Amino acid sequence: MTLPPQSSARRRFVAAGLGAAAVTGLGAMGRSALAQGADFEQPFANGGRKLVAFPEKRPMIVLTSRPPQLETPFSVFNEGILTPNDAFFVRYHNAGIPTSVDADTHVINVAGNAAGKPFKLSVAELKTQFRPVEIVAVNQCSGNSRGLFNPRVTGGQLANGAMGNARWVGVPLKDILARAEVRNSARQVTFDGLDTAIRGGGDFVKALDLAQAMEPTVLVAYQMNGADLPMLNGYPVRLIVPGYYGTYWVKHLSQIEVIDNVFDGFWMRPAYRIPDNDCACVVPGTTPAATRPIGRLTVRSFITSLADGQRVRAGQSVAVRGIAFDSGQGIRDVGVSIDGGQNWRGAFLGEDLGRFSFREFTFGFVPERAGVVDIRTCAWNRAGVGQPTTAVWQPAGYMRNVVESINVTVV
Amino acid sequence: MMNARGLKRLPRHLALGSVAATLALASIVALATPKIIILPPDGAQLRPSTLPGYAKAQTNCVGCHSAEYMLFQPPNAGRPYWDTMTKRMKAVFLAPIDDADIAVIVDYLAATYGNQKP
Repeated sequence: MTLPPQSSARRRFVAAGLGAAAVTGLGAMGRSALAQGADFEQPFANGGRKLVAFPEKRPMIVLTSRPPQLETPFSVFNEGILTPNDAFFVRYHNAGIPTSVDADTHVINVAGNAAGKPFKLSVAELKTQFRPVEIVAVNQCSGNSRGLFNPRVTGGQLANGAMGNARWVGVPLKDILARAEVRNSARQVTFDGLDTAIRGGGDFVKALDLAQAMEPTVLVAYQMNGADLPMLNGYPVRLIVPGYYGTYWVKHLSQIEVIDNVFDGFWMRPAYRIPDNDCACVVPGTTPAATRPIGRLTVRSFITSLADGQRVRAGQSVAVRGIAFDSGQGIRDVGVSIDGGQNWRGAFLGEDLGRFSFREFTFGFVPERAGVVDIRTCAWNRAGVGQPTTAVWQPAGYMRNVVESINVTVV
Repeated sequence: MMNARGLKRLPRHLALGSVAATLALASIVALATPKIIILPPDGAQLRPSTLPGYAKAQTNCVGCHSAEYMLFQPPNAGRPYWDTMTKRMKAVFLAPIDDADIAVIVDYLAATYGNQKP
């Protein structure tokens, strides 16, 4: 894979008049087009969808209705750097999802064969017996953007909206585990929630290695953007694993087990595996020789203020806004190109809400003459890792992070 | 203050034993109504077919999940995919499929949703 030259991205640029120009709205994709029951077309073959408002949610793109899998319409990401709770994506694996939860009686059972002192924790105890922390962090589905793979891969056919950024409040998992007196034999920690498999097979249980689970940013969270979690995002408590794909962010958390072995339930093996090599990729159409569990997010950036195919006026300044994120190094630079990736300059970075958050970027340009402008963005994190200019491929359709391209028509 | 990890420590909700603590705990416990949701109906049904697998799929597949799982697969979803999925539904998720019906269901899925579509 090749990357846009890093050095050129460090130069800042801005077109004349950026400060005064309004950030362009998403004409055809405005909220009126996103009404309850409306048809929605994803940008890939067989992409016809409906927009439906599920409980505590605005109309969202329905991938599946039972269990609910809901994708955020991409224009939401231009509303602000935090994704509203009522538009935050939803992903379940089994249809036995809780429809009535009493936070006063909900209990998290902390146990396992490597827990020296198992105990039960109520939500009230969680909120009152530990010191809470707050973190802004991106949750992104492993299969976000799967529908854009070429050649296409089977599975949930998502565009880019299975991600979101929220301000979470909760208790560090390590503080809860400390009370369980983790034994030296501990290797992994497993997480289960109230959702169940309809016929009892394939319950959704996930595992983290002990070192991952002890990272101070891993939280048992009870608040999202200043409110209770929506039911479909894991009420009353969910695991927050900043920097890691959403598959580990177990909802309706009810069981934590510290174990002395490597958990190999279906959702750890064979599901949610990636090629065990540096690029987590293989030649399209081939099968990886070895796999490992999916882990940290790759670096991504998106323009949010312009949609593909949008029209802009020649000679008038266009102010562009977007978002970038990575797995928690933090975004250092966002490069932008208005000539299809030939030349790159640096965008302005917005407010820093923490290294696991979306980072806003802005730039401006003046399209000089009528025609098509191919706009691309490429982010680099503080470790110097960027995005590939051509997409890599893997059979499960995870971890897409190619440099995105938007074509706007200058009239 | 936010630390280098992006974490901000918040004050403890209560110091045990104080009046404020008792009130705070009471307010947390007092939010007593359960959260209840009512989910909308399925947004898609299985596509009718004269193939015998259609009835089998109605019996064995959509009892556990809605039909968008089939409907939205990409146009290149081939018979091996539908075969793998049908077998996985039985082996992992304990779908009540008779072994003799697996090929019948795969025939229907590949012909209706996969790259064997007419």
